[in-house]
Amino acid sequence: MNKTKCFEHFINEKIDSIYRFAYTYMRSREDAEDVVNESVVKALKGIGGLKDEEAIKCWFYRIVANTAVSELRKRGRMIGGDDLFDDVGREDDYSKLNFESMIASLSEDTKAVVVLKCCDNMSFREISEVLAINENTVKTRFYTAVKKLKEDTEL
Amino acid sequence: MYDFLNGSEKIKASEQLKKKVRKQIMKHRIRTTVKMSGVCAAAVVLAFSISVNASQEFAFAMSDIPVLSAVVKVVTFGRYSKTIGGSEANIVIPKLEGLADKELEKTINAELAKDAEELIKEFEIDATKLNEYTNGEGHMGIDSNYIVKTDTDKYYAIDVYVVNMVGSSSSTHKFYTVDRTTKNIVTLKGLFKGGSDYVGRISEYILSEMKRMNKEDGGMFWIDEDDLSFKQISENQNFYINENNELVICFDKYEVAAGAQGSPEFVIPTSVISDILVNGTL
Repeated sequence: MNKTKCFEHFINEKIDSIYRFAYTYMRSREDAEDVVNESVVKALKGIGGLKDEEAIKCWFYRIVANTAVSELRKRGRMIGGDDLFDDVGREDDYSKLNFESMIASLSEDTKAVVVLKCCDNMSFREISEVLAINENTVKTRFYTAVKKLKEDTEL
Repeated sequence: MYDFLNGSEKIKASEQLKKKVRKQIMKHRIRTTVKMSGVCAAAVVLAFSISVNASQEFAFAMSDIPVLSAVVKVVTFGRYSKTIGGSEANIVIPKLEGLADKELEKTINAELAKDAEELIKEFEIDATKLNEYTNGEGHMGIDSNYIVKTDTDKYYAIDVYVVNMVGSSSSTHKFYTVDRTTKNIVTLKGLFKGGSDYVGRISEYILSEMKRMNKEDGGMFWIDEDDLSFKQISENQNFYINENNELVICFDKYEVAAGAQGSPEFVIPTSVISDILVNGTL
């Protein structure tokens, strides 16, 4: 199967997850759609350079993450990667913690880890590839975030 | 499940987004196919250029030309059916008979056979890989056959099509129009007077029709969206001549419109092009 067909198959299967991943960053339907669409265009342009068809998943999620982050940077909405929690979100009522409040409260890098792990069942190694960060950092971020989120729920 | 995942299942891609993404992929596919087939452009031009004489009287008059079959027709040369995992291919290989120029007939039939052979080869590789890639869950299908579009005293036209189903379906066509009454080579270019801007003239008409259909008939032609919009037909655009002796310009699915539009065909009224047609008529 050629690369475009593999890609098409992948998109057909995963469009909902991909969209959710983009939404995690953008927190707006319209912006998330734009990010997915732009990522598809970028992916098609670069698909010739993709060496291994098996790698489509990580490769494409990474394009989505990069596209989303650069869009957020453009808007000055990007939150530093090392801060686990976004201060703005601290005022939220965590006793009713749900997906929307979770993605509103976590920093970009951390919520990406949580979503990829919990919603997309990615391995820590895969997540480290998608986000281009060290696998141990991924683990630390994940466990710290989940612990914190759980505590907040129980408050 | 963690509480903080509550509501995540509601975040789903809209139909509009799915459509948009499909369109991007189809556009990409068509562009790369066009790029690849550019290499075979010479062969395609040759395939379109069928000179033929099927009239009995003429065959008699030209009896010094050996082996002149009386009837131009398309027959089924071979069939291929195969299932691999969840994928299926049904491919019919056509063969043209009765052309005056036996060398040309041979060339065209060799090309038809080669197209089918490549399709089969591609299917076997793709379906096997898809099967492995998706652990037997993936489906794709290839359906290729021919239709006689026109069978009159003047013209014989066939459409050899390939329908490719992976998720959504796309289709491509190759048309062969045989002129029964002249032995002149017929190509789109050959129908028009030298130096005439047939590309511009036809494109202008098609564009106005697309606009009209988008407005009146719920047409979904891509005309003023972005740089991928329809601008003009190519010099060797797919075409055939219908039973009313009218030129029909053809596009593949997703080439100029949303998939719901199928493979659009535009009948060009002869009055629009009569002044630049070689004989003033078709």
